Amino acid sequence: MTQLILSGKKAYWVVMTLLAASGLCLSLLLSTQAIEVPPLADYHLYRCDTGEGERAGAASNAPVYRILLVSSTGARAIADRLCSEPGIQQHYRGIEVSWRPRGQLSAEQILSEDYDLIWSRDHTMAGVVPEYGDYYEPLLRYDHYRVYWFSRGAPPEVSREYFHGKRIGLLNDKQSHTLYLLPLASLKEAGIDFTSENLIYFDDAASLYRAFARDELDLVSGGDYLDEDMDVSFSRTLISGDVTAATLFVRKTRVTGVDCLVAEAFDSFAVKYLRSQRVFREVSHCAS
Amino acid sequence: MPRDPFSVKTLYARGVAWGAAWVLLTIVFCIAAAWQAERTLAQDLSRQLNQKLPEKLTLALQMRLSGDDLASWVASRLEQDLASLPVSGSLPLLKRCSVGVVRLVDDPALPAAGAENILVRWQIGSEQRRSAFSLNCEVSWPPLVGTCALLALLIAGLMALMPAPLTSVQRARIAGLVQKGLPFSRARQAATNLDGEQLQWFEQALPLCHGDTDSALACAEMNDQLVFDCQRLEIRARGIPIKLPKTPFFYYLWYAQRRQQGEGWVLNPPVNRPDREGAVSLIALMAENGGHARSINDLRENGLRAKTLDQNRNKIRDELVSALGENLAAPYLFESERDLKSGRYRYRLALGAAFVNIQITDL
Repeated sequence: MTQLILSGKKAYWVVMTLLAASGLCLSLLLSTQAIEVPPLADYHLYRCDTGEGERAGAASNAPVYRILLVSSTGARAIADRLCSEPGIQQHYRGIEVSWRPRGQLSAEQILSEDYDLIWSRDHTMAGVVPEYGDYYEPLLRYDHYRVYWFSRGAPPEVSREYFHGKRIGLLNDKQSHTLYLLPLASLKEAGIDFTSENLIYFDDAASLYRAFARDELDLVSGGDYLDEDMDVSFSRTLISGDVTAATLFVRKTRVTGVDCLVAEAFDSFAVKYLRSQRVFREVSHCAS
Repeated sequence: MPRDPFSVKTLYARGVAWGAAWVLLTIVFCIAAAWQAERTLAQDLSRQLNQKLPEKLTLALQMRLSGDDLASWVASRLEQDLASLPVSGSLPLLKRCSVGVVRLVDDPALPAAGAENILVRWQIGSEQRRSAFSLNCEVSWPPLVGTCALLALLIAGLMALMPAPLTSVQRARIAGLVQKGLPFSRARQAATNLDGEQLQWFEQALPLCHGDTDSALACAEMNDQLVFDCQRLEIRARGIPIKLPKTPFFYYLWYAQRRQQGEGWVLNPPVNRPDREGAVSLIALMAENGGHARSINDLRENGLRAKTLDQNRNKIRDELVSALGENLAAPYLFESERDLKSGRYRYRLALGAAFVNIQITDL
């Protein structure tokens, strides 16, 4: 009698459904696709061509000028400016600028002179390679850089009463002067036990300032660059007016002719963001 | 008559139905294949981007002071790198795939912008970030539709090869036939090919054929046929033997002979005037084949009387109905009509002359 059951309508439709389903499965199986993602470029690295390579043909072996910065801000503008300088074009076929946290600069990179220019500080360089002076020397320094406490309301007072209960934003980078070392030193100076205060750490500066703009923080530290970047109104109190913002280190064995051009390229950026004083001993050699 | 499964009209209708099924299956398979192709591609892309991108995005975007245009620069660089993606698969269904950046830096706490987006999670320090990408591909229609149509053709073909389902009536018939000893395949065939009357014939024939299903089936399938076996004095309706008493047998045979000779109508004689001329042929028939002497004498003395004719027709009718049942017996019985001139009834065998076969064997 099984044959009789199998010849019924129900069994017929079950078999039809199974057939259709198996066809569907087969079409799903056959249509599976895969993709090969090509190698991706490094996005913490910007490179421009001076055009030298094209002029001299593909065989041009003029070097690329490599710059290491600690922030991406302004990096591409500096590179583009350098690329367009005829003085640079004579010596280099391109400018490559990359940005990494200060702590990620390795001893090997200093010893093998991977970079033509490094944006850093004396103590950072010395901390990595004490004899870094055998390979790199400071080209120029940005001094008298001002660091402030910023508040969305009235200007902050550096006092225990004022800071108590406030939400204070810091960068989770123990080498950052502006966003970690100086504000903590300021709290210490005012006699505030910062272990008991409401310190909120951020892993990047952009998030820190976004939180400040959204009123999730009462106090943040920073430099004059905030005027450029923030849309909200805020008031400030100076923490320190004599900070060394940065030192530019260049290789000792270098094409000296480009020093002035490099310094000028950084100036345009420094004026806007750092508003500090430039200390450039060689400036007398540069044509105005 | 059973319906003919191979008539042009039926074949045409079946062709149209299966053609429609083929088109429908093609459409369904195509939709499924396109959906699956895009889904698996997006999955594969998502897996690879989640492997390769987080580190690169962290490196690129962790060191910025604020919302400058770095993100849009990185986004355009990424789009350049992912502008032309080679697609592989057992079938080339998609081509010219590219990735667009929907949003490079997004807060993962926010709801995703679109369900179709490819999400890559990365982080700056301990802070979660999310990027949303969209995958855009062109569908290669010829291989997609071609493959689906072929596959659908295969499936629709297999479906068409499946025997059609049986109605509950047919299944009941098959069940009945199987119970009567017919093997399933024969029962199935019989149930689909035989109509109700033929099945009745089968059932009537089976006990008379001593359970021989083959002869019973043959009986059901054959046309109406009436055989008079004068040696054994029995009739066979479609091969089913029915024993009749001697006298009614000869009356039946006499009516049948009349039917073979023409229209076959026999007018009942008037009650007061028996038909002596008409009796002659019947007397001859009986005498030749060993009829009852008493019946022959009665006919000789009294001629054909309406009463005797009526009695014998009734006797025949009773015997046939008891052997075959009312339905099956009907064509083998008599039809009647009133003669307008005399006002009396006339009778003849309902079965056409062509179906009657008389085997007269000399004793």
